[in-house]
Amino acid sequence: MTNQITEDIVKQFITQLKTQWDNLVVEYRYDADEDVWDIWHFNYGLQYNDMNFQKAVGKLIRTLFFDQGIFNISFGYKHLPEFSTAELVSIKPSSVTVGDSISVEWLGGLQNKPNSLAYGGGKPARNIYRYTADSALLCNYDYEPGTSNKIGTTTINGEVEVLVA
Amino acid sequence: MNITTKNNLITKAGHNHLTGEWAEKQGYFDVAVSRYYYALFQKSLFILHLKPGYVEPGGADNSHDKVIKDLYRELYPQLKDEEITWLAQFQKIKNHRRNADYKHKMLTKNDFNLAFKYGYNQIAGLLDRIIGGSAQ
Repeated sequence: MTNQITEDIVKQFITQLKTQWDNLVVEYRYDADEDVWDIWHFNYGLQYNDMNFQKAVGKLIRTLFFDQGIFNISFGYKHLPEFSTAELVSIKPSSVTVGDSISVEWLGGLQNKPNSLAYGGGKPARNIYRYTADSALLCNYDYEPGTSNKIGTTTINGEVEVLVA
Repeated sequence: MNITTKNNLITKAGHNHLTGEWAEKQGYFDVAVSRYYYALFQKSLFILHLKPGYVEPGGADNSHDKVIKDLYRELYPQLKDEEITWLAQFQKIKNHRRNADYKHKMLTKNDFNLAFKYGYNQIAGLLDRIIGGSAQ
């Protein structure tokens, strides 16, 4: 069952993690069906290859959760799967808003490049994703109207593109 | 649970791991996820049954979640910090198994490795260390 005390500990965990990796995007949610606090990030290099990160995270999980008798937590890298190219276009960062018509001229050079330029006058934006060219999608960004400046100015690891599905 | 029954879990885990390897080589990545996951789950049950009197959760929908939490509770005092990080991916591995079995989308090799296999290897390695390397 969700409770404020555990959520506060989750927030404390994330805060302490970000004191060492301040650019790391860490998100969480409580899954009521599984009774699990699911915590994830988007950097597979840290998760699988950086021993300092693995040691630091494990120490935090031990002290903040397990030593307190909290075992309904999950932590790890979240991989956003490759998208169907038919549903995806890539654009350069700009003040895109949901509902905008995305011009084919904004198509970028991603591995998931659309296989068709048959969008004609454009494609309406429904969701916006941040992206780094050297890895998988970095962060699933559920766009909210009115925050387009945040999308246009967000820079993570030299991010050069955003995706609009 | 007697010793033969416990050992059968390790045998089954080994079979599932080998089947997962075969499926992976064939490019059947969703099948591989499913078999690999059950290899982990059976090793987990084996470890938990090493504790006298351990009672498995009933057959409720979230019995696997309870086993994973029991495993965390039982193992963490003897794990190194980095191993706790590896083990904490278990729930995500479980969810990948569910998606692999029931969702329409099929895994690509890249998705399989990044979303599942690297994490699987980390957890399998530490469980094998606990067991003594007898599962594969």
